[in-house]
Amino acid sequence: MSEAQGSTRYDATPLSSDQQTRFVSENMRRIFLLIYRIVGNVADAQDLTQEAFIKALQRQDQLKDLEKAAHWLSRIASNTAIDFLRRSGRVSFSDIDDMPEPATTSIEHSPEQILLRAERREYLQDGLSVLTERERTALLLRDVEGLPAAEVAARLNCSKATVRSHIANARVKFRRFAARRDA
Amino acid sequence: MVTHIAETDLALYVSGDLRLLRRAAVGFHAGRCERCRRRMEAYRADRDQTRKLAGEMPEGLDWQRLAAEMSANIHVGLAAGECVARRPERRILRVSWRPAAIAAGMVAVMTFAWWLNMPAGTSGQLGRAMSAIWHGRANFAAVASRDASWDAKRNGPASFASFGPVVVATPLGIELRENDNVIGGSEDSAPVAVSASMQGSASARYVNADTGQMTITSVYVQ
Repeated sequence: MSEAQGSTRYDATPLSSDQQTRFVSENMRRIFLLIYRIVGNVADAQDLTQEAFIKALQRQDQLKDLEKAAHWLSRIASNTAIDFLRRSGRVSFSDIDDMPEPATTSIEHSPEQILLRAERREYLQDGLSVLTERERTALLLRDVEGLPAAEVAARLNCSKATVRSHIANARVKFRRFAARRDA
Repeated sequence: MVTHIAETDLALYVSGDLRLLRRAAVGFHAGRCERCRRRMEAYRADRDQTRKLAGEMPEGLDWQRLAAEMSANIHVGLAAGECVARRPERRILRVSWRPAAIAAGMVAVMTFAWWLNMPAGTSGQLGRAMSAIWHGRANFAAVASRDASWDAKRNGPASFASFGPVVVATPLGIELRENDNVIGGSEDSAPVAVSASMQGSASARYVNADTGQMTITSVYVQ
């Protein structure tokens, strides 16, 4: 392992214990946040983050170019989160016109409570909560991770056109949520 | 009446996810339509804000404690994985028909080459022995010689005297001949089958016509 331009490069040999610790600490925050935004709760995100790192470190031999370790790890993390949503049956589709009003998306969130929430973090999480899991995942991979639509389609195991539809629906729903919140 | 751009197209336009022609049409329209331009800017702002806020931790989360806990769990998980890792399975050699056919061909070629390279006398004796076995006749001699050459001394039982001990299988039985002395010989009845080997042994099976008892006589020369 050697330092290069502020980021850590990993040689194509199995990582030592110290290198593994460093690899985990350097990427944990980013991976946790990615998974947390997809699954929507801390407890699941914690379990899935651990699972993603263990998978990654057990498959070091499959990584040909460890300079792309961060991208590779993100892929494992998003796939782990998507698999979790599939297993738990939480992946669903919804039409924009069928989208519930933000005030009614969660029973415990009354309109007054939503309006009172000034915290930006909650604003984002609430905005993401009005999306379906697939829309949320597609939006996060495209806008936050910056992946091209084709890569998002590969991760979600669907067509590029479907991904475009998910992204468009997600943005429109999020805009409506933000407009109502600001009103 | 002005027809505005669909919301989904405006949402995709900001990230360049529209197809080329549609993107050009939307851009052209937005350049002249204030409403669509504002909508487009709103989507762009949402995108930027999402990207920014996604990097912030959930409220009230003690990240240091959580990170330490996860790191410890990851190392425990890796250690546990190594403990329960399955040993590599032994590979079972599975030979397909092609390698088997190639091996059989090579064996056939090597056998034929061995046969061709065999000394003429030896190959002739072997051929006659096999022929005799095949036809049930025992009119050949299986001979073990210590130092004599078969090529010079293969003119029939008459010349066996110069070989030393010789085992001869005849239609009447098995005989051990040395210096014109004969040991063994025939039983009361003719043998049913006589066989000889190039290693200097011969055996004969007799069946007593009265009792039906079978006798097998084998003679080895060392």
